[in-house]
Amino acid sequence: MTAFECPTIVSPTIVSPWLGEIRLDPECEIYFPAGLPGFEEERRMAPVEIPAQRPLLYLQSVERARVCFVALPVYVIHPGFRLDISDIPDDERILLGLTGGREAVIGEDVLCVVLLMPSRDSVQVNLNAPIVVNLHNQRAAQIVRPGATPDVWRLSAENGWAPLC
Amino acid sequence: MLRRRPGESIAIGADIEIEVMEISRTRVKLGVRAPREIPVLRKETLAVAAENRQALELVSAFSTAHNGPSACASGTRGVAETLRLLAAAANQEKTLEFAPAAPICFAGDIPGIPNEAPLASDVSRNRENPEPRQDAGPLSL
Repeated sequence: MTAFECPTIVSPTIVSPWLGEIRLDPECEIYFPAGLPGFEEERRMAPVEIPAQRPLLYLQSVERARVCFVALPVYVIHPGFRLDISDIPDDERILLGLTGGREAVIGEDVLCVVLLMPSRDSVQVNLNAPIVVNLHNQRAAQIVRPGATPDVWRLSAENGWAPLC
Repeated sequence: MLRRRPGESIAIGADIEIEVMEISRTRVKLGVRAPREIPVLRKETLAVAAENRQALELVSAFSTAHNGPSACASGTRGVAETLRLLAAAANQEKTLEFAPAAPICFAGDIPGIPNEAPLASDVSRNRENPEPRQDAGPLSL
């Protein structure tokens, strides 16, 4: 199997220990051709939302029920966030199929989310490691720019989302 | 130090081979053959891999809240406060809550997203789903 072939859907449902039973719809599935850093074998993820928890988004692995991430759209954390196509390393641009030369618009062409990490009694994110989903082919990759230092934002009662100094 | 030309390789042990495939003015294209269990990553992604492993812990903490305060009292307080803060940061009046059963498929707006930058859910609704779906299932892109 080449890196560009989506695997065949075998199971119509997955029972997540965190989210319960999820009915899989191949049209909803996100395909990570190279997995995620640290989870290179996780290629197929189902994005799941619980309405009462919007705007939280869960990324539930289709192949390993225990693997599930909590994510937020980048705009929720930093409305001024920008991601230029030139920021995306060549390898990831090819994996995503963003090779047309046109700028990708967040929301129209790509979805941009970040994973939430525990941080003492709150959560934090690294805005320099967003997950980009090409909405035209549902291929995704986590973008890590060469030489970029982590841009960590933490959620606090005092400041809401704010960058860590 | 080893000097190689395009098409030439170096071997690391018996199982790993790195071939110089192409050299341009500013870049070198390398091909790596390695056993499947050895991840081949750009160095800058190593720190992100550690962050992702940390991120994986969050869902189990959130699930503790789902199971009720008796599961882990101190952890639950932290998660409850986090959910309150997340809701406040997204300009929502209500604290985020855990649904007791399966997740629900959505194709509606995500609060906190500017209208001029619609997210996937908006695109999906406009294209295929005139109204948000009420049944359970994964997010429709």
